[in-house]
Amino acid sequence: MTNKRIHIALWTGAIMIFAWAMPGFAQNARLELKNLEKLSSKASEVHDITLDGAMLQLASKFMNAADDPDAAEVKDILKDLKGIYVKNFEFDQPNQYSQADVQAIRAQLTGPGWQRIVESRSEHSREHDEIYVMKQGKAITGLAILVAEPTELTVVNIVGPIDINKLAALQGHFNIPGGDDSSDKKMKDQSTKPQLQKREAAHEPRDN
Amino acid sequence: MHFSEDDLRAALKRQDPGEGFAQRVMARVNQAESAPEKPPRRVWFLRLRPALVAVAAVLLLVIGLVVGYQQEQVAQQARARKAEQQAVLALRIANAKLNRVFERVNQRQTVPKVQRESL
Amino acid sequence: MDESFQFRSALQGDTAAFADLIRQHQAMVFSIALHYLQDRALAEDIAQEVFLELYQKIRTIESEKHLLCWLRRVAANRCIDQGRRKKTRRETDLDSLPEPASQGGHSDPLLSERLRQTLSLLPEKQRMMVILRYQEDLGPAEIADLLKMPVNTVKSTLHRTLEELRKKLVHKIGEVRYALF
Repeated sequence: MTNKRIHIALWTGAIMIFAWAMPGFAQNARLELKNLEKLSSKASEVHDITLDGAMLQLASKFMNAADDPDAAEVKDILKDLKGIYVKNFEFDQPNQYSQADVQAIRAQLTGPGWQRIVESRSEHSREHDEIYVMKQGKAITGLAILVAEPTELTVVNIVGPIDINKLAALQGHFNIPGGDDSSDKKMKDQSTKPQLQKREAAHEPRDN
Repeated sequence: MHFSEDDLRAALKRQDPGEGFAQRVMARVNQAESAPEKPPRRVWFLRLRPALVAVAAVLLLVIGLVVGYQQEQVAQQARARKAEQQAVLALRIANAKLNRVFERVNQRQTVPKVQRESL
Repeated sequence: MDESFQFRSALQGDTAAFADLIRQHQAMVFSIALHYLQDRALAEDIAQEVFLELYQKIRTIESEKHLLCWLRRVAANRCIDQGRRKKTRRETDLDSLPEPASQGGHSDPLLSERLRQTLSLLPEKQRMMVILRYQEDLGPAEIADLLKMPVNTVKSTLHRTLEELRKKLVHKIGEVRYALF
């Protein structure tokens, strides 16, 4: 075997190994939220939802989209998602969770691929809201919403292609018996339906 | 026409089967003894028993499969219903928080850090 | 050969003694079948089967009296079964019947033959009762025991059967006379 042939064989092998290993290098929009589980014991109300791709497919399969336009909208959002993970804790007293708990999540969002698109902080009400997206090209492939209030902590992690406008526009279309009343209340309190396209947002580079 | 009981006795007088009857019986006796013993004849429903068992087994199997399939369908529907409720609840929370954040940003009239081009 | 010795030897598997036992009772068994079935070949076959069964079950026979009862019962049952299977009861033209074998004695051979043929027209159990009563000279109690019937039923049935036999015989003879003229 000539040196040239050995060279070609080595390159072919290297390319094959790279191709095989590529998915492992792909950025994963799923966050590790296990560190928050300990808060369940302190919270007065907990919503802990873990839905992987298979469960989302199963949920979509049984949704009656033909007769219900709302269900069709929900089904459209769920269609290509690979996972939805929600941790929502409501506390009777403030200071039930530490900044370290939130920082552990935030640290993951400083990783490659993630980009903060909204941050709202209020020293007065001690609220800190953040929205992060993971993008591949122009497409959003992951979403993280981090809402830290004195008596409530919420982390929403959506994995897969998601249209934020569609998600925001879902307001008022839900009808779940025994659902999240506090969220409902807050949703009802809102007088206007937010439209991101209409928002006159200042463009500011990410501060982290 | 009249007949007496004696006439009947005379009419039904024993008759001999003839010479050689005993020999013919003994020949059949010897033949039966030398013949290999036949397996006992089974009555029709005993002959049918294996077939009945097979049919019953197949029937049970089919019923079991149908019942199992139905139970699996019911269980899967229950799982799907639960998944659907969870998915809708998750989207509801996501929607509420998303809009809450935007609402706060609007209310404070501060400079929101929204990178519009990224949406 | 002494009958008791012959019976005991047959019981112990002596085939020669068994053959003697057959010779001793063959006329009885064969005649029951012949008078019942009116078919010599079939009667011989039935009689052979009775003795074949006896050979297989000889150890269950307790005495010579028991043997006689056993042979009559088995012969009677086999005849009735055979009669039911082959439906031998049928209206037959008396002129087409075979000539009866000469039995000797002082009886009218034509009457005997007519009686035998008319007997074959009777129902199964009645026919067997008449055979057991007049061939074997059994009393109503013995016939009742053998055919598993109440004695009074046997008595009344026998009485009625004889009347029936008389009527049938007159009717048949009448038919023959009418045909002749």
